[in-house]
Amino acid sequence: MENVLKRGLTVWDRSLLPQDEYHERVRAVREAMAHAGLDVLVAIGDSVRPGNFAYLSGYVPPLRWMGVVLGAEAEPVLVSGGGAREVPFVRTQTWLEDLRTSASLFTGPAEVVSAVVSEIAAVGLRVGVAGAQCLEPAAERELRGALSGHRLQAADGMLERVRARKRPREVVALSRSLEVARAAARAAREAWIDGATNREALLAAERVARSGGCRDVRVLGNLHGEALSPVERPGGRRLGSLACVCAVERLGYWSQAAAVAGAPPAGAAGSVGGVTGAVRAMAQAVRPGARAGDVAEAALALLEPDARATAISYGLGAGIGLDPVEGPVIEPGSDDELVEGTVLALRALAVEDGRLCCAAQTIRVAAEGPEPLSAGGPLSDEVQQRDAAAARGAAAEGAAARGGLAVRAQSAVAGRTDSP
Amino acid sequence: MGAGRLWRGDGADVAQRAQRRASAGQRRIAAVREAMAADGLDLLVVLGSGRHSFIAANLCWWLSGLRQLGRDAAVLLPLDGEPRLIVTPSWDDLRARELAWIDDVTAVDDLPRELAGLLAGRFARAGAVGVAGAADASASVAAMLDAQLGERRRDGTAAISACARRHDEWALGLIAQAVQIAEAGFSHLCETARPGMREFELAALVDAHMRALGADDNFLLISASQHNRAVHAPTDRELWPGDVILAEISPAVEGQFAQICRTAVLGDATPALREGYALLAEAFAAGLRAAGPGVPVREVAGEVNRLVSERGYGRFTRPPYMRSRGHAMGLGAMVPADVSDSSDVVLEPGMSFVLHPNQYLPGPGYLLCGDQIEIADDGARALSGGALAGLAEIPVDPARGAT
Repeated sequence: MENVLKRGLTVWDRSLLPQDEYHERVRAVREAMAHAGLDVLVAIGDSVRPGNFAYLSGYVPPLRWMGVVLGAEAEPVLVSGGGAREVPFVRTQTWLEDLRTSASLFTGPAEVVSAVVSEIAAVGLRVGVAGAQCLEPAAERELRGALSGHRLQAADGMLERVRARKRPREVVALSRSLEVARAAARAAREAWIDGATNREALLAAERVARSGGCRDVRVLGNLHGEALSPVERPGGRRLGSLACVCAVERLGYWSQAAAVAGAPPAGAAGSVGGVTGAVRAMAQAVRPGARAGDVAEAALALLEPDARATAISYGLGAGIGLDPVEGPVIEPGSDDELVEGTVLALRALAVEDGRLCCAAQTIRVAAEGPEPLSAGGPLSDEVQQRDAAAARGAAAEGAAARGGLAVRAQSAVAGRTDSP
Repeated sequence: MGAGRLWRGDGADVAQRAQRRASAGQRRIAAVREAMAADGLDLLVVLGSGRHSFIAANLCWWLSGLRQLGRDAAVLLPLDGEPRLIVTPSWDDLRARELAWIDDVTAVDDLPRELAGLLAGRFARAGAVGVAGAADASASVAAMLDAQLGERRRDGTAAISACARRHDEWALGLIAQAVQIAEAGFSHLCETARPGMREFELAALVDAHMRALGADDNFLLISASQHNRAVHAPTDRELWPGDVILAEISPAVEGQFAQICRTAVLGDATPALREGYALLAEAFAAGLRAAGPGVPVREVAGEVNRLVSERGYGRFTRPPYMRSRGHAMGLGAMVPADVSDSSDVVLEPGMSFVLHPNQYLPGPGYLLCGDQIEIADDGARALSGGALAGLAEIPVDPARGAT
């Protein structure tokens, strides 16, 4: 689900991501370029897949494409599709000093990129292109044509390997993003317990995320039944339970969190336990060199057949960072190996006993094994404990306690649809 | 009537709206079929990209009534017989069936495979197959269509674009709702902005207000400065007395965007700011007077530029001091595109676009002033009086911030 515009806080946080952080990234990428035999790298990103561009520039394209041209020695150049009107603002968002724009917002990068590359050498360079899929097919063809005097090769894999190992400051940025995602998920849950409709609860999460400094916010929950949907229109019922997944981008870094509220499903451990257990099992399977497919199987082994199919459909997670989905994707059969330093956003969603349940956890692949990015386990652990405590409290108050918050809490826990 | 009222209503209102919505969908399908017949197409495949832009058409949504969540989606519209909607991912099935006005809906994870099966099976007899939206389709969908259709393939863009060229009654109704939500958003901005608040905090509150009123998305830019160079995404800058707050507010209702462009000042406006805004408001009025059916778009832009130039600011009527004098807004009709003096479009009844003489002026800086307008049979009308209502001055209480 793509929003039309990343419309939240847009800022270069120089204290968290200072200029020397980018110097080090450039150094690491140049080392990889030398290893791959590249003279020049053209790293392109757009608002959907900004990672390749954002890693080198620190900026996330608000619309369409942007690129960085990086030579082995020459200073990197930011190239942008768009008019000169935007340049003064872009300058406040990036450490790069050399900014060049294409003729209009709607033209591709061919002309300006080829001009920058030709300043390094007229012909004969080995040019790697990463992120070409961010361009419209015609613009990509133009770019290849404009660089036809050089030897072109795809550089996506090379850059992906560099970006996979999150640098210390990136881990901090991811942790801070995760804090806001979790606060948003909690806000949804608390609003629902307080009597909000499912729609109102999801909007509460959005508001907390944007107020918490997120630029892009995508909140999905059960609105039309037991499946995830975005909030699209007013109205809507208060359902018997709430399931909510919040994905946010803050300072360029993505994170995700999940929350549930309402009556635990019939049965002992219940389905909240099911998906929570599945996420926990995946987390425990994380270690450098582990196969992504094996991590997925650790979750699926704990789910009923129907729940397995649903969980696979929603996805079990993937790497996360400057892109909302990075490698490796956690899916059955994948032979991709986990790399030390990668951060994984793990999740499980399933419908059990007629109720959508979800859990999420973010894990860093440390040398010793799994390292949770924040304290605590999957959010639904916490949710389950709170629900159990609330249920105990409501029961203790007994039949005499019928008013105010006690009834609201009981209704929420029992999954009743009456709201105060 | 508040924008929220438009949505809430009672049961009868909701049922009527659903009926109007369904009828609008059927009229669009019928219109496209007429165009297909004229173009000799047996089947039209309209592909979605999952990317929604306020300055580009999303024809898959326009034809199906559904915002796709995944990367791929397709409407298959035969000349005769039921249309089929395929969406991704598979878990979006419930929502897709509830919201689409096409009855035959399939939610899958592998759209190329599903589409290939339909083209080789149910629609195998279709001779000429028009394809629209191919430029933004995923590579796997594009490759499948290349392999599957061969000589049966035609460009179907013209057939559907011709129908979406002018807004229908349903779309104009959505635009009117979006304008009301935008106005409510700006009112909320004026009620909540105060010194010390950061730009992104203000933007978050305004955005949340409009989401609660029914905006399903928003191209929202809010920024402030003592002397703006342009409007931009909100930063962490603290608002300050005397700040000029720029708000480009573009909510969407069912994917249909509308835009208003507003300027407010924290405290009292300076004479230069008042004069600058008054100039842009005059330019807006001149453009509105010039607009109407049969009028070339370049004449509308020309009127705006002429008035600004007459006051001695001619060199500021070109980039980088401005971009355009307005533009069409997604979902369907992207005509007249940019309102510029190089446009070759002639205005027609049913067109609606934002007219905004937004630009930089050396005294007060960059200012925003614009409203969504609609071309009717007898002229042009603004859908809000906001642009001409003047600059908003937000009183500042020294003790508490803004009142």
